[in-house]
Amino acid sequence: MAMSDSKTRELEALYAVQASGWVETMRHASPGDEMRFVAWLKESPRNVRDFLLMLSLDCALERVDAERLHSIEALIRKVDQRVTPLTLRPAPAAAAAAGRSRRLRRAALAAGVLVAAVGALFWYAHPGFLGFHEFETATGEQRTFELEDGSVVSLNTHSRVAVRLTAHAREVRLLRGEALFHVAHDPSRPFLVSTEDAVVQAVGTQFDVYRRDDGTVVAVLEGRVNVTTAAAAPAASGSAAAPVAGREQPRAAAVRSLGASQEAQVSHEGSVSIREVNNVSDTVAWRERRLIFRDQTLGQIVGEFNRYRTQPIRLEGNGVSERIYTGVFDADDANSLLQVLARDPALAVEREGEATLVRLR
Amino acid sequence: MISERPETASTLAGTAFRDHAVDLQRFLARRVAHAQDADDLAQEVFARLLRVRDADLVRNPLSYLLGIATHVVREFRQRKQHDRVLYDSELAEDLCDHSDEAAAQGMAEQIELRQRLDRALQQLPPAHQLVLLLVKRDGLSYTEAASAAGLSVHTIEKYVVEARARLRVLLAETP
Repeated sequence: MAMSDSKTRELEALYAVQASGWVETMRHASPGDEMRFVAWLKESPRNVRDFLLMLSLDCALERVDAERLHSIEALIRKVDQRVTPLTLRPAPAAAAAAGRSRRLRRAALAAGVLVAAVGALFWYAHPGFLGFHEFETATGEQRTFELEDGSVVSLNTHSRVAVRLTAHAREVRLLRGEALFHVAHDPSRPFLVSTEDAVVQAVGTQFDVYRRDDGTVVAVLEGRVNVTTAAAAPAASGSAAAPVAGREQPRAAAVRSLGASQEAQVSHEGSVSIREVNNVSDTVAWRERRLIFRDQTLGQIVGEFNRYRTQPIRLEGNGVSERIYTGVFDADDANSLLQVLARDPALAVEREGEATLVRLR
Repeated sequence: MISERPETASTLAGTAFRDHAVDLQRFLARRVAHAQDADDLAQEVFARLLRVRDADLVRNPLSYLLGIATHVVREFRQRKQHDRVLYDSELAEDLCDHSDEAAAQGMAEQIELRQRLDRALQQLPPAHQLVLLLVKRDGLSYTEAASAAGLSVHTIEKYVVEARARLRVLLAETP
């Protein structure tokens, strides 16, 4: 249960960014923002505390460096200088846009705790997809990074994407796992995210794509996206968007438009089902390492938990995985789930070495 | 002086906060680093927020939140004055608030917090320092800060969010 210090600090940093973000949002909040803000406050006393403290810090900041010891000019020089020494292998596409790349480096340098410096990431051209850069996370790890165009990609645990930015398109292949995209507005270059099941197209918006075993789930937080099933994918320069080769019979084109608070499930067979999601923020709660379940089967719940664990929880025997639960958990703390399960008189929770077994009594 | 600044977007919440609750702000300012009582405060505010109808809350969340928090802080203070049986440093501090030395005490806290903030500021990456100084110290709007620093408005906003978060973490780590 005890989290390592670095984990705790990472979490603290994450909570702090979130609270700081809300202070920013509440300056020019839309009614939608206010609703989300209230929902966030009501999630936990910790959010209330973090927001109030952040507001107080923000207020105090107006008197920072009152003696004016720091020179703006010197800082600007410093920021520019710091750009040179970083050795980044330039992407073929990025070389054409040196200005953007420079900004990227500067942003990467400065971005701090959460937005990892690009140089530190797994960064190479995949042999099969020239010009693509891959980013990945290990089990239990999450990373956020900024692309050259200003879009921000957050990778959930055990996930992998390949990214290519060209003059005509911004292409992302979700090779594994789940990612949240905050797309910078650029009407001249559509932002395309593809899995084997679907291609999601956006211009400037925020959406989550989750590549599950049984298909692809797309959830929109802001704006609109178009979801095209793999067979009908728009071929963007022979690439990320190209349909998976080797399918004998191309299916009929299916382009579905998806708005905020809508979620589409695309099966491997190409069927699309769209539903309204009341709690679309639940979908991306993973960014705060929270797992939220509303009337979900234990099978689904444990499956989600296991994405974050190197030692999975196993369900044994009939009837266990069908049991329904509702709850909010910390993804880093599987014990919180196990404690809840242990209180269920119908269940037995046992440890076998490193593994944990859950079965009916 | 802050009041002479143009009313930029960056000072709006600050103004609302200051106007709303001097007590609250002082209470929190002391606790930006040491979170003990802030937890109790948050717990109580949270409990009361849950009792407010969502429809009301959504209409003006910030002023509801600050209003409730201000009440809770007042109650904390009163409660502390009522049971002054045990010595506790917190109580001693609060008593000071009501004495003639209150003003001086408050001033000292302000100065201490400011010094700690300045020290923490220097630990930030240069780009974060730059953006905070432009926006907070110099009171530039995000658009003005963007052109001064050669960054996009979006990036300025992002850096403000990140820089503030890092300061918060730094302050919590270095008492």
